[in-house]
Amino acid sequence: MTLRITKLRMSNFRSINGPVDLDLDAPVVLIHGPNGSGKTSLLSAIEVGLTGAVASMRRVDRNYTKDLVHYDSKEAFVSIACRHPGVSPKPNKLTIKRNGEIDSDPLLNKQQARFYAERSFLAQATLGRLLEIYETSDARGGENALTRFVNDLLGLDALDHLIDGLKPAGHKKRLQRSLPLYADAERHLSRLESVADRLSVEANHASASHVQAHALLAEALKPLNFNQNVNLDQLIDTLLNAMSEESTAVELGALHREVSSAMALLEKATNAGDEDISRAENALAEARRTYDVWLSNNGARFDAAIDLASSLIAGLPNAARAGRETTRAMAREEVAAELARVNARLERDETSRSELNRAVTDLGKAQARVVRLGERLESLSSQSGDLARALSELTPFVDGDVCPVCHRDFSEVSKSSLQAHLSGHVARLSQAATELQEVSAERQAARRAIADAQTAIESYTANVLEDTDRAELVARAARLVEAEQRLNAVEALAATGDQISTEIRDLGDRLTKLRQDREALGGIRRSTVGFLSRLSLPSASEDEATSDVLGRCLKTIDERREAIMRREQNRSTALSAAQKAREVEGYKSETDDRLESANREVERAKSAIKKADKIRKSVKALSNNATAVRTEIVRQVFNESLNAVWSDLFVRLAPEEPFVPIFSLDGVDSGPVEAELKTRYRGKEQGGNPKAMLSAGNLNTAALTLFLSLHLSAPPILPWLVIDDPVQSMDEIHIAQFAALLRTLVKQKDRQVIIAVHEKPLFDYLTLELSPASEGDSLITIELSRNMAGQTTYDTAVQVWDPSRIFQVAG
Amino acid sequence: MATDPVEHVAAFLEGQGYRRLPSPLVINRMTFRLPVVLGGPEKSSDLILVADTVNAENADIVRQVQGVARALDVARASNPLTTIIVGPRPGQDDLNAIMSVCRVLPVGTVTGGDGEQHLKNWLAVLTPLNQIDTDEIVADPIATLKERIGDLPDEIAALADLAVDGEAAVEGGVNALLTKVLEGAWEDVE
Repeated sequence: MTLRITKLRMSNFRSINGPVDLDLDAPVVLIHGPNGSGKTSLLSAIEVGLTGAVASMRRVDRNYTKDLVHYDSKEAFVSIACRHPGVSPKPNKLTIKRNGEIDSDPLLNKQQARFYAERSFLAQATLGRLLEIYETSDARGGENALTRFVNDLLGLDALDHLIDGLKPAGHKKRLQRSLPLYADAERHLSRLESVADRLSVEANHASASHVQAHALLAEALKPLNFNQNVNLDQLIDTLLNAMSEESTAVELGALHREVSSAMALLEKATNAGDEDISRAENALAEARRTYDVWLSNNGARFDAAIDLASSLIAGLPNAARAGRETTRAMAREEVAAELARVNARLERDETSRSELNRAVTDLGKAQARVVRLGERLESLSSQSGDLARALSELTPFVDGDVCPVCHRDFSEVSKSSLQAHLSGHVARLSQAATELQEVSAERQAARRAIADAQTAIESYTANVLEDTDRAELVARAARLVEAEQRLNAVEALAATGDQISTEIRDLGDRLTKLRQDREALGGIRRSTVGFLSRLSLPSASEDEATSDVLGRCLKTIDERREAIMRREQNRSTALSAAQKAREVEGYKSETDDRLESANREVERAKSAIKKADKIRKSVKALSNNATAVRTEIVRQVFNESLNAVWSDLFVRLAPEEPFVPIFSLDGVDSGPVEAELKTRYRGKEQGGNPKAMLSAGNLNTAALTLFLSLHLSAPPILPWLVIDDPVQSMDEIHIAQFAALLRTLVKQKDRQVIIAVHEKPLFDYLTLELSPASEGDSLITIELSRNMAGQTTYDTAVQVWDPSRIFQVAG
Repeated sequence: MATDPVEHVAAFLEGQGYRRLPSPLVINRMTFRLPVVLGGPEKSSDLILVADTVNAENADIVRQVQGVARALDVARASNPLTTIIVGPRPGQDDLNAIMSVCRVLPVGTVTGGDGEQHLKNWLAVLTPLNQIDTDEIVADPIATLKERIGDLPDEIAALADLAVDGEAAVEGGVNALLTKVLEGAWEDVE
């Protein structure tokens, strides 16, 4: 089975305008057309149909697919078919939308597509790329054109992306730039470590403090005879509560106060004997007798004076209680005051009587005056004033003698004029009115005098005593005078009596005190029994003095309090030591915890960085492997075998050229291997840079043959060579050799060759050179052009083997 | 080995499977006098004319070759025609005249130090291609790489798949892996 691309149908693809339907099932397909007729588009269509992409366009613009549709059309169509055991026999159908979407799958699988794009199809752009290799092959350092070409051709760009992408992970500095988190993590770790270091110092310090605190505690516990291994909380509880002697101390304090006060009481009390008491009793009896004598001689007289006074004055104090002299002096004072009051009343009564008489006389006179004035008033008309005013109002209306009221002529009754008459009448009436006013005022004054006199009479009458009352007051005054005299007379008596009474009271008080002291001493003695028993001391003997017993008690109390104080001191020291120990213990455990957690954090950070470094190590391994694979591929491709093929092909096309291009690999085993382009002189010595050594035509030849070498040096997965106008700057000798080479590839290597050329003579030459030369051989020619409307037209012809067209030489 | 350059060429081509044709060459009763004419190789219909500028005038050689081409044209034969010129190279005008009708290989002087190699170079286009070593594997470099890194953790190996998306994607992938573990350096923030 001959493996071939058999059929291409397409429409509106790139510069192809309209439908094109081509049979390609021949060992050689020659496509001709002037520039712009669609040769490149046709070959691109084959590439899209087979691989789903146009590699040379994709290198320039990732979104190139939207440019695949002819600019006058909404969508492009490509269908391709081939004969190949590894490819579906059915043609595929790809529709490319205006937006660049390609709706169906390419005919070739991924590996086949790679082979096609890399080693079967030589696009003009790729050939240009190849030429570029020679143009800029001296690029140092960065990526040179050959590297780019090699990468494009061998798919090494993915590996290079991988190697470059992995690179930052390999170096700390670069990684810190690429991933600041890494630097952050390292800083975080160093920060954590310094924290942990600080905490470790702190923990050591806490530990030392802990040891010291426990030593101090042990020292403090010694006087207490305590088990040191006891739990601290328990110890503190015991020290704080169980060991406390505070209640005992309080009790002793209270006892101390009691004993002290008993002592003080003892010191104060008189130790009175029976004799003292009887002497006091006798003195008291003597005083009482003196009093009795005084009472029988003077008591009645004094009492009579007081009684008289009491009969006149209520509320006098009791002489027995208030004291005689006090009572007498008060009675004397009260009596004198009462006497003065009684006398004053009597005097007022006298004055009122004489005033009353005068008022009565005044009243009578005023009443008589009122009567007289009343009579006078009656004689005066009360209307005269008003009439006088009314008549004087009439005066302006009087004209002549005719009365303005009655219209009678006044001259008829009098000789004087009406005007004079009226004026005189008004004057009389006015005088009467003035008099009336004055009399009324006088009568008013008289009436006020009557009222005053009546008020005075009422007032005086009230102050005048009834006769009986007056007599009684006079008698009382006399008795008061008598009482005053008597009270004055008993003044000295009263003082004596009072003195005796005071003496009796003092003596009684003294006797009472003596008796009480004797009682108190007995009580103190009895309470010593209680004190001794509370202190658990031996009881006192009969002849031990109470003060000694109390002294003994006080001494014991003081001793015991001192002992308690000492113990309390020890307890308090121990307690504070225990509390300190507990505090330090807490501090230590807290510090230990913090240190532990800090160490945990350090470990966590360390482990994260360790994991990251492990990843970095793996990344490094991946990178090394990628580099190794890259090197391997480069070495594999650019080996001597390739150089041999290339040399063979190059010499076929340029037999005269003494410099033959070769690849040279730098001899370093490690690191990325780059192929370098050189020449070899006459197949022997190294000849230098091809750009300098080769002519432009031979550079083109070198590029073309390099492609063919790469095609030939791989297993022919796809035995197809699709070449787009490769002879742009070849001279005729090269063209002739190239034709011969193509023929060799077709005949000897069974390659299907599809080639587009723009030069008509070359097309004709190739048509002749590649024409069928044996049974089953054939050649398809396609001529592309455009009609007036810009639509693509094409003319295709098939040449089959024709023995009559071969000159056979007998031989 | 023949000392005559024409015979030398003839011997070389015979060694490559060409056949010597009877001389003189007769096409359609027209006779052409050329020192050597070869056909082949094998069943191929190529015609090889060998001329020697030492033994013939350049103009005569041109006339002879053009005559052969013309005769083939008249016979409507499409045999590929090649002329090998040994001896001093003719002028460019004469070469162009021959070139317009067939392939010309002006091999020049073929004896001397590297004469054999020189001849081989010139006639290489007429000889079959050497056996070519095609052991080289055309494989996806990334796939090749992945076969080698089976011992690496899966997540690391997976980085290779990011390569097609470019350097930044790979770097991003590495950084994502590192970020995942480095974040563990800090306590979880709830």
